[in-house]
Amino acid sequence: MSQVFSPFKQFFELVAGDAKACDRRPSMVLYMKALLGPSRFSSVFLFRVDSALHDKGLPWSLLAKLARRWNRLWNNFEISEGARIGPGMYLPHPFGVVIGRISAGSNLIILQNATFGLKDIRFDYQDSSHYPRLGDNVTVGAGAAVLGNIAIGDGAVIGANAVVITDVPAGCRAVGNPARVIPPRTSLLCTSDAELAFEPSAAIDLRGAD
Amino acid sequence: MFTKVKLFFALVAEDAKALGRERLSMPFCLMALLGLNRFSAVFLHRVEAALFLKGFPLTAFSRLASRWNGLWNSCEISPLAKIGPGFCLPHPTGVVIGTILAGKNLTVLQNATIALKDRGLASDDFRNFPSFGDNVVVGAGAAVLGDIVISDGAVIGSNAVVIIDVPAGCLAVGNPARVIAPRSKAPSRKLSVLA
Amino acid sequence: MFSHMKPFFELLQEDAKAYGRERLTVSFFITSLFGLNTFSAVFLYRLGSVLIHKGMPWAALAKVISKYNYWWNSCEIRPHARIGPGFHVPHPIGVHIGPISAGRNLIVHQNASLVLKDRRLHHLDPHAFPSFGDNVVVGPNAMVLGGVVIGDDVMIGAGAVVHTDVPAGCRAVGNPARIIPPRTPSIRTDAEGASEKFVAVS
Repeated sequence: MSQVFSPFKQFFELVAGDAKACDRRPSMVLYMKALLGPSRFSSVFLFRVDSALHDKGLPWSLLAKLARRWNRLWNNFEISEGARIGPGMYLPHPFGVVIGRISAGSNLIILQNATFGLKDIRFDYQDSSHYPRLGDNVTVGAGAAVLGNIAIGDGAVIGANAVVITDVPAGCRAVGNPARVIPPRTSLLCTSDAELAFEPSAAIDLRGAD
Repeated sequence: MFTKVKLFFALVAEDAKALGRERLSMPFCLMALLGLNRFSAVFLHRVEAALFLKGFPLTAFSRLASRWNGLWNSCEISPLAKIGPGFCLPHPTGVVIGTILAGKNLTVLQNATIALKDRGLASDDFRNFPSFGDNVVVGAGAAVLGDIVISDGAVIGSNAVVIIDVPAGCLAVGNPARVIAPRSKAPSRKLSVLA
Repeated sequence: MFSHMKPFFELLQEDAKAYGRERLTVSFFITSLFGLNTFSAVFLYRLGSVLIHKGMPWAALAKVISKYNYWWNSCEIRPHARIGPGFHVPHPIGVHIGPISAGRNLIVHQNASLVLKDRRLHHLDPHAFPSFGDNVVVGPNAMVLGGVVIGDDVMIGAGAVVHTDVPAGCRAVGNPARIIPPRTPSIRTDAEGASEKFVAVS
């Protein structure tokens, strides 16, 4: 991210970007609804509230803690307040997603049951240098686990149930357990029956499966 | 209208039988509506599926049931999904099911995902989602994606990622999933199947 | 009067230490009871596990506590499970634990399932569920299925599907899980080491 990330100052920009990613018009009514009920926008909105307020001292930090607990309760979505994620974050189904102190660019899409965390539990969980760093327009598939001090490039796609512990260059796909990186396609024509169209949610290339 | 209600309760009775409950009673249904028992995820899905296309205010109730399901059971099943009787969700946590067509006795375990393969496709079109036969079991953590056909009696193993058709009676395990033919009588290598 | 509850409090103290909290206070108990912190999953499980064997009506209360745990923490830990002290669940989301038996210092991450392999077996038969030694770590999205025996100091990697016994000190990774024997003392940086969730520095 090019500018200094300040979730408090940029709160409304971030939240407007997230609302647009959910195909909703950013408005106060939407934000009120996000505070009141479980919805796909509410998971991200509560995270934005938490990350904006958590270091502002009492009583705002209590409000931030409440937002975090509310998120965990209503949306089953757990995200650390130290996560620095750009605008346009979208979680179609926030269930089971646990996110540590990662940093990510804009337009991040995370599917259900994904995990972003430490690779080794002996590391300090409060040190963001041990967590993944994601670029812009990354899509993380259902059930994926993205662990450790790795860099996921812009436009990368992480397949369903992948376990990613190595860097993923821009535009590539990472599939399997442990994840192997598949470079971006050079041509749009399918060269074999087993080739699949580019798919963000699964991203499995059968050529690699023997 | 009463036939429709009767049919609804017949469907719900079959589902309850799949979960081990022989008789359906009003208190049981009420508790399921409020999210107070294990049957609640399936029951709320049946309610939301029945009411979704019936116009206001029933559509609003359908949306409420959907939200309630997501809140209490952490489970999201598209109200347009057409799932046959005997739908069983032993642990509904983390289950996300799109607009699918499924036969009888579908069992889906926790953290399973049945969804689109390409997120750009329409999420209310059955053709973009998997279709299931009868008596299919989807294991815990599995991801079944795309316009594939899972035939009768297939079993999808835990944490499998299935993007190819699974013929009748076969097993699909691994990431990406490979299909294993039905077992013979001889003891074979044990595979992680269900959860 | 509280002497018979001493083992229970000692157990809780060990669990709280694993959680990172040195001293137990009343406010901590109250916040755990109401699901306001992530220790709540373990706390409510311990409460349920004490009550489930005491006959009615305590067993009914244990079932209610278990349901309550499910609603608030989205985790299902059967009160019949026998888990030693130092049980730590960092994020209880999606955790499913059947009536397993486990030693000390079990750590279970999110979306892990320690459950049956064959659903036709009874859901409360402890022989159909895994048994764990001491100091086992189960990674996120892992599954440990069936009546397998997991030895001491085992690490189960993220997304692993374990359906066979894992000897002590080994790691189990992949789907289906393959077992990696304990490594020699060195820091692995090569591609072979990249297949494991945990970089073990032994």
